[in-house]
Amino acid sequence: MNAPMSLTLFCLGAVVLIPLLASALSVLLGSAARRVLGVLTSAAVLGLSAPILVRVTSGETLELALGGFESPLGITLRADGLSALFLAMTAIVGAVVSCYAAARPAATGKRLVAQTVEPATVTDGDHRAALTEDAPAAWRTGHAGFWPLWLGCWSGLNAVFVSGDLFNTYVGLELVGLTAVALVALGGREAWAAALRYLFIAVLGSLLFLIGVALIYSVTGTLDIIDSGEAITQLAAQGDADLAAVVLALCLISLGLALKVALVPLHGWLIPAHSSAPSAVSPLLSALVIKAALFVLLRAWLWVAGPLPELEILAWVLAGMGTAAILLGSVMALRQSRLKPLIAYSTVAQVGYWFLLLPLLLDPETSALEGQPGTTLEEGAVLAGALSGTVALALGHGLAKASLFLSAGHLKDLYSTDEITELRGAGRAHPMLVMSMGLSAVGLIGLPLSLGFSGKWLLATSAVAAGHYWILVVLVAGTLFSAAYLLKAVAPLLVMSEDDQTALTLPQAQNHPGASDRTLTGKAQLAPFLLGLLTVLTGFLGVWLTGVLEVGAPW
Amino acid sequence: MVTWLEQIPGELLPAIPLVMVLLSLTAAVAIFPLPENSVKLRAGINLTAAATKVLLIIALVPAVVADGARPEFSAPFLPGIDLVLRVDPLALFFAGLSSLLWLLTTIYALGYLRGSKNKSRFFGFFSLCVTATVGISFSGNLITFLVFYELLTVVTYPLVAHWGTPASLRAARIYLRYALGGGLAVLIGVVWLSMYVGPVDFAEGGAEGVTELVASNPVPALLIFVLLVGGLGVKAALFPLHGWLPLAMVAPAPVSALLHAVAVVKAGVFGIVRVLHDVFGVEAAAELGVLTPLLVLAAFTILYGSYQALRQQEIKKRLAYSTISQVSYVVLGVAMVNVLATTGGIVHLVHQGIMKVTLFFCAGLFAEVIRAHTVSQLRGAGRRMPLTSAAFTVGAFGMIGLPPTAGFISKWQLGTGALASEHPWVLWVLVGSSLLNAAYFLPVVYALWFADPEDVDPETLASGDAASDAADPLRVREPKSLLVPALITAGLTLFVGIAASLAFAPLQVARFIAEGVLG
Repeated sequence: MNAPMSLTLFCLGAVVLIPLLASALSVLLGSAARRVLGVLTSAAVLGLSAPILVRVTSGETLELALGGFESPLGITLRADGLSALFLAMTAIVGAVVSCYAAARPAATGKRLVAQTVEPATVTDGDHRAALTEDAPAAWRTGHAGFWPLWLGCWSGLNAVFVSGDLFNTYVGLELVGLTAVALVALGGREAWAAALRYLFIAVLGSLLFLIGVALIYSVTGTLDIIDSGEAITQLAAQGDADLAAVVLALCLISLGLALKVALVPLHGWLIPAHSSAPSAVSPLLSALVIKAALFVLLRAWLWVAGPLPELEILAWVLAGMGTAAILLGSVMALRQSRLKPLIAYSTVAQVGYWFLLLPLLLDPETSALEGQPGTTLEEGAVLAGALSGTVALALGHGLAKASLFLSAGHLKDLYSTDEITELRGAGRAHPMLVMSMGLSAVGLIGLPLSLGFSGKWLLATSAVAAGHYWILVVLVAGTLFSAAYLLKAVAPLLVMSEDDQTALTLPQAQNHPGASDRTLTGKAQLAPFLLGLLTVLTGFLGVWLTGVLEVGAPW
Repeated sequence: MVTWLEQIPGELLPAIPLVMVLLSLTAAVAIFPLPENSVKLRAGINLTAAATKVLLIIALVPAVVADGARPEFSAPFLPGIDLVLRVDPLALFFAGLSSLLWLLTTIYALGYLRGSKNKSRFFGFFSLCVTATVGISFSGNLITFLVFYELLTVVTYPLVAHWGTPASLRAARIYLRYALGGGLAVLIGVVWLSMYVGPVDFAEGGAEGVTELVASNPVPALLIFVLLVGGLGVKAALFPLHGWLPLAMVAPAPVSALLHAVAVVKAGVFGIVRVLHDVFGVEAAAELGVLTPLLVLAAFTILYGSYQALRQQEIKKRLAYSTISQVSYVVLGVAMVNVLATTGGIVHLVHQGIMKVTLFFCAGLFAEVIRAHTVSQLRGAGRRMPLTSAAFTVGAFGMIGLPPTAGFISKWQLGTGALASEHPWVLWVLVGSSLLNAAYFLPVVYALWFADPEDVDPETLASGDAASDAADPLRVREPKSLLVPALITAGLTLFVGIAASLAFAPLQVARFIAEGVLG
């Protein structure tokens, strides 16, 4: 079962390099060939991620020094439990969304074409230049620029996940951020403003992160994640004054990454960016791109900084912002009348869950239950539970939100609108889409069975064990709110018959050019359905996930 | 007694409860993708799965009740916590009810929904609903119970919303609001309890560690009890958490039948019985001082539900409030801690299910065949639909508790139990409730048989399946697939009442369970 070690290490490098090479190669190809290349690359990444996951699950941390130079000189790629889990989720969601995009090129964006030029001969990038002031231009659906950008983004995501040092993490983040901005811009004119705003945020976030990294380097003298973590632990043990720099660095890093994951009140950019992005892009942004920032945040807090007591204020501030995010995001989601902004606000709300664990990290004592009869809690269970709960919530969110955004985007493309009141009754024609939305709602609400439920369970039990009952209250409120806004999004689709007050007229579905395209569109619905199904089935993985996270854990 | 269980290799034994759950799950998975028009295949899958399950349960009864076999399946779920499916007498009791009524309700639903839309979706969720119910009955610990309990909430939503009218969507939304709120309360209770005592395995006399918890930390234990029973009380429609139930009757008749008789309401009550018997244990619960308040709440709900039922003119609404009242008999029985009353409470799980399903089947028949939705529209229906009316009458007599119906057995047990308990006043609650039951059911029976029919709407004479008989122009012939299940359950109502002393009759199994719990 286990591939040889050298082969697994090859995979570790290849998950970064192959999408990057494919991205470069796809620029040279026509749009049909790009689709084929995209699907092949997804299959390759999926295949390359599997041995890494298997190897890490068996208890080994993988480490590859590129070019034979060991750290601190060379670039080190490292995969532990956290890396492997995010890598696997990205591979699954990325592959499914790639297949969807290949089956429905119309979902990849809009392009502006001059009427006189045949659409097929226009190559991306230069068609805007080719337009003269008075040439009649028109928007056409489908943008082949999706493929090089998305494959580049994928490479960046994987680079973040397997990076062994902080500088390469920065490079990966920058690659993800820039390609994600460009992907948003594929959504046509209405997306350009959102993309520009997103660009500023992404660059600012990376910059803050880079400054934080520089500060850590100045204190510890190393960029390697594990080495710098050890150095900081030693400094803390000596009571060194340099710790102030570490705290400042963590503040900057957390701020930069909070911008990138859109933590309230830094969430303003996310709504227009995620809701105006093309149907195949929104799921990637919501499920994967913000996860890169979350991943780095977890790395910085758990691996680099360790549980420094000086970080307590920052931890509480971030957890407070997380709580605010859950409440504000939910309330705003309830107030939306359109499907995609509603889902985007739901992302804002869900982001909040991932910050609740920070106060637990600094106070991982099972104080609340110590000395109680019948307590079965083991030592160190709080940290493990809090981290695996958060990771389970994040991964579950990735699967569920990708499914939900795919379904919503599909409906929007078909009916040219995502006003919920206008889509009333759309479920009749698309039972599979409604089913996918229902399944992903189960995951987002956190009902059993789903990874979201396992995550909430793990987080809640460690919160109770550590005596942080407020987390329980936040989780309950978040659960009720999410049920309310998701019901608001899904229920109107189920309307079957009209009564006196409500007429039931669906907007005219967009005409499809050919019959073959229509069957592909039908098949494309399988993508959100598959992800929805995975949301529920992964509910069985709670124990496994906790075990994998133990590999290379900092405690 | 040598049973077939012993011939099964040891390693396959744990698979039995899993197979039970997977049976309806597989049916659901197979039904969802079926095209609308493959009526026969869908019916075939449904009936095969339902019938197989009934047979499996029947085969299990002697082994589990008489020989004490406890097939158990477990799989890791969360750290330190397994998903456990275990067959014990109470589980089998509830699973038996649900699978028998699933079979009958499926037959009914096949006829009821003939010619309507979205049948694959309906039967898919219908099977999922039964999957959840079976999972609830076989759950071996609190987490497993919670998983299936929430699953039940989710999969009944599309069933209640099935017609897709604004009214049904509203009812479904309110149902979901109540049920999710209740589910969350249970979740918090479970989280809290399992922090103290681990996975909370169901065990007769209380789960491991809970007794110690009650002794050392009575306040958290009390709060946990309130969270659990309060959360479960939402589905069990305990006052004041019953608001969703009368609204949910906008669902198709087979769904109402299933909801009221076996699935949702019963899941809540079953959960309360489990919490009381197998999580806390009656002694610890008595120590907490929660039994008397629970008893009073149940008694109040019984009278309140009956009083509200009296005020309803719509048949299904009257039945809905009657459910609120009747289901609380179960809580009433288990809250009076003695063998007689507990037997009465537990046996009422099954008895009420059979009787209420009969009444809902008949209400659906009246609505479909002669468009009668209110009590006054039923005038003279006995002459037009004698068999349906007879079945309804049997069900109504059962609810009132007249011998020789099943309802009499339940009430007799509860009444004698009340006299033997510390709370003899409960007898007056039973008497009062029976009088109220009579007051709202007898006028219906009277209208059916002794009132003159109103002017018969010519439309109903010609409508659909209801072909008029040549001999009597008023007589209508009910569709067989709707009538037969109603007659079977009406027959069962009489049979379990008359044959209550047979081995493995519901009463005997219930007594066995009660004796097991109370020693």
